[in-house]
Amino acid sequence: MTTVAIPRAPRAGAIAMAWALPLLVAALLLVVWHVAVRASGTKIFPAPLDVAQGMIQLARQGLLLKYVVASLFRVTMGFTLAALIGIPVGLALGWFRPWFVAFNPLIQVFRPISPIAWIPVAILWFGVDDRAPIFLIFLASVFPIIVSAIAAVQNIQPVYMRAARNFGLTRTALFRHVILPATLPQVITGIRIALGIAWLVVVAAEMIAVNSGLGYLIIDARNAGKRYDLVVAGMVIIGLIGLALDLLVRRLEQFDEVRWGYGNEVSR
Amino acid sequence: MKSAADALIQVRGVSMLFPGKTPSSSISVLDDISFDVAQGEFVCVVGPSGCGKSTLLNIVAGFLPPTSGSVTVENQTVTGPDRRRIFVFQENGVFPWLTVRKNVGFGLRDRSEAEQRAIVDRYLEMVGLTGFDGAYPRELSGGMKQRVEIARALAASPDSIYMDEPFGALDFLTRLKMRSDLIRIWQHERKTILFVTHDIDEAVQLADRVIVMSQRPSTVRVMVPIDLPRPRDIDSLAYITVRERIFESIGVSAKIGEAAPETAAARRKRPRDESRDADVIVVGGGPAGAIVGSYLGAAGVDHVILDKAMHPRPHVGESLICSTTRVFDDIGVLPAIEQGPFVRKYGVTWTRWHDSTAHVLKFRAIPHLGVVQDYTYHVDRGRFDRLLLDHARSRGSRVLEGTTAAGVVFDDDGAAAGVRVRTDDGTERVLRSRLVIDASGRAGLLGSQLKLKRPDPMFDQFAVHNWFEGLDRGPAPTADYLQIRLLPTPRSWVWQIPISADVTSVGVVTRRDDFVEGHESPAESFARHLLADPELAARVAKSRPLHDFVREGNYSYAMDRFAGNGWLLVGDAARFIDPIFSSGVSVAAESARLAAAAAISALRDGSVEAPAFASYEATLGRGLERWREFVQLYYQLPEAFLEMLDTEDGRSGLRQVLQGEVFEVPAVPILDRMRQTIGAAASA
Repeated sequence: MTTVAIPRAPRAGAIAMAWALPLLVAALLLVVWHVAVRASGTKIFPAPLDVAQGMIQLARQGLLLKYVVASLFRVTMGFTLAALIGIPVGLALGWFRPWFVAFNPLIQVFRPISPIAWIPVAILWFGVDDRAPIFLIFLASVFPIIVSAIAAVQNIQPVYMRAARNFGLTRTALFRHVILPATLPQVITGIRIALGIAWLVVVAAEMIAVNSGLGYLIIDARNAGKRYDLVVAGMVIIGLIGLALDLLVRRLEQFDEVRWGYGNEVSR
Repeated sequence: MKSAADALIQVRGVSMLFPGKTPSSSISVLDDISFDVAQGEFVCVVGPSGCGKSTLLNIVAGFLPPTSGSVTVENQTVTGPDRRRIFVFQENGVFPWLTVRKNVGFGLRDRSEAEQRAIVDRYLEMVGLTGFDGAYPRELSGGMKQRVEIARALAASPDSIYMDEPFGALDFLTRLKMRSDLIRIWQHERKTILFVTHDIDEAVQLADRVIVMSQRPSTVRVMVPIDLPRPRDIDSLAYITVRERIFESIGVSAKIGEAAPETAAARRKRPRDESRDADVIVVGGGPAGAIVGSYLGAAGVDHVILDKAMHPRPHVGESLICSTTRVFDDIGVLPAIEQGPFVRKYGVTWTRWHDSTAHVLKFRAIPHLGVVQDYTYHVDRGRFDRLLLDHARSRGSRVLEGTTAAGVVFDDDGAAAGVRVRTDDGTERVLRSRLVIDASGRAGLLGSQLKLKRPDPMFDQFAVHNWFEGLDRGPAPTADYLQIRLLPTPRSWVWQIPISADVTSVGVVTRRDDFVEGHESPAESFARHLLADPELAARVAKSRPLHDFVREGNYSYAMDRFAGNGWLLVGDAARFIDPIFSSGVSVAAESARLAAAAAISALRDGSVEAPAFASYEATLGRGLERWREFVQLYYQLPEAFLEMLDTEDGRSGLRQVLQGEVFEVPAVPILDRMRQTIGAAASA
């Protein structure tokens, strides 16, 4: 069949719907939450308004921004490191069969180990400064990146490689003009997954090893005075930032050079 | 086949074995394949699915090393892919991450920006994608993507292009379009193309040569050169013949539910010389051609009739004479004519403009020719010709309608070897045959080509005619006779021919200069000449003309020869005589009968050179000369002719000629008598 990419002209109604529906659901959840808290008569678990007040308090104290920046910094460091190492390693392992044979079992052994399990090791190696959570974040995100990069290379349509060979490309040109662009969509997908995991892990890492960041906020609020309004405020902020990060990475998938890789075509 | 010296690509003894888990489970895909591809040649490889033709192409391209054998290009062994030989992939190898422009320019990265732009623009235009340069492949249809890939291949300026079922994933119409575009491009660029397909039609439409492969393990089953001009007409006989040959070679019948009569089908299956389209080509599907075809068909001679007219012929009425009945009976068309909408013609009357006395000739049966009817027919030529041609078809003639013969092709020895034909869409090709029978009528294909045509100034006539509805044809006994009315102007006369119960053809024949001088419209001319015959004019005035008056020349002529090496002339293509005695269809029928007999015996004896047709030429020539002399004597002194008609003795003598018995009779006594009578009258 022919392939027709239909540019979906977003109608105003559709846009409103895309925002209104999730917001409506969120609002409903808040209402249910509020009612449930009031109905249970709990003194510990906060209602939505308590959480909002907690956030405002944190913001006034300057802690909110500080903790968000601290967490983002660690994620950025760990994740960037993972990408810088994971993408080339993954591409190389995908391309050179012997390397893949040699290293893949090792990767498959390390990959299922939860970053939480690495916490003691991280503290042992790096102490309680920033390097420990960065290490944990790196560990958490590097494997998804490597694995997706390997798969991306191994899944390159043979026809592209044959066409490239036919045109007599040098190794550099082959990498630059075929392998890299051909793997990019799947590498981006790996990056998106890895970033989600990295953000997931930052909270756990901060709960233990450091004294700033959103993870620290949560554990500190719990320990320092059962401030569950602040605990939940931290959770909500983590969630919102996670959403924002995901939206950010998804934008990478909209570039013309990679859109072909996401099956957003009507048919083929 | 091209000689090895010309070969750009040489495939030598290539075999391919895909190893299995055990030696016995190995799959032998290709078995000792050898062929050459010449520089600039378009070669298609066809074969059943899974026969390994794609594997073969991948080996030729250097993507796969063969298990044994070798591929050399320009005498260098192929060890891998090369940018001088670009592969176009079945699954589309266009890079989806690049724009159309960057894809097409992919093989040009070492060129300057300006050069790249120019080359890419050129090939985008060639494949019809100008304006799409900024698009990404995902925005294009499947056909457009294949165009991009073809443009990318061409832009890299390779020596050859290897195409692996490039149109296989496209819908039918797109495929057809892609094929014709590919041919156009190939004719422009003249790259060597090796094209793999499972579609035999595709191969026959595209290739100079088709390599047909067998089932796995594949061998080269047959190589079929396709010597058809491009663009190819997929309905043409030559195309169908080649196609059938390929289908037969892979053991598949191309005919599904064939409707043609069994005899014709069986005849077609008979093996024939592969280098010819037919044993005999008959040029022209008029009565002469159709009758020749019917005779040839009945004798099992493989032949084709080229018929220019696809649509009903213009309304012309014609009167037949009795000898034709034998021919119609011979070829078995008589019952159809008898049942057809034709008016029986029992005789002829002649009337002079100045009196109303009819001089009558009533036809008789001709028992010694087996003609038992004492009548013949008036026919509407449109219907009649169609009926004869359909009959020929039922006798096994392959009729190519809408085909104009552009010329007869002669071989180096001067023998006719085929006919160059042109179809309505302007395609030209050569159909090859052992014998060409020219039944092209007054167009006189061979006569013009060989400059055999000799005009006969004695009979330089013009006719103006029309059909009339409700015309009073005169008193009952002779109403449906052919009525000839003589006009005062020398050699001028009027015919009245019944076409149906209600329709009558009336035509004025006169000398050409009589028309030219007048500067009249055909209708005015007709009316003026009819003034001399008030009785007929009054009858015509009361009837209704059915269409515009038609004016046509009846210039008589003869060809110097009626046969040569590999060719024969029949009917009007041989000689055209003033039609006053309705000799036209008779000459066509008799010459067709004689020509078919001569052709059948010549083909059987294995020589179609001129000597084989000497007797045909003599018999036809003598008969036609008798007709000509008869007409000439008549015009010298029509009064003498009418007088003869008034005696029983004279009538029986004239009847021989007027019923058409002039070809195979030793003598025509009435001619001698006319010569004497008219000679005497002239000297008196």
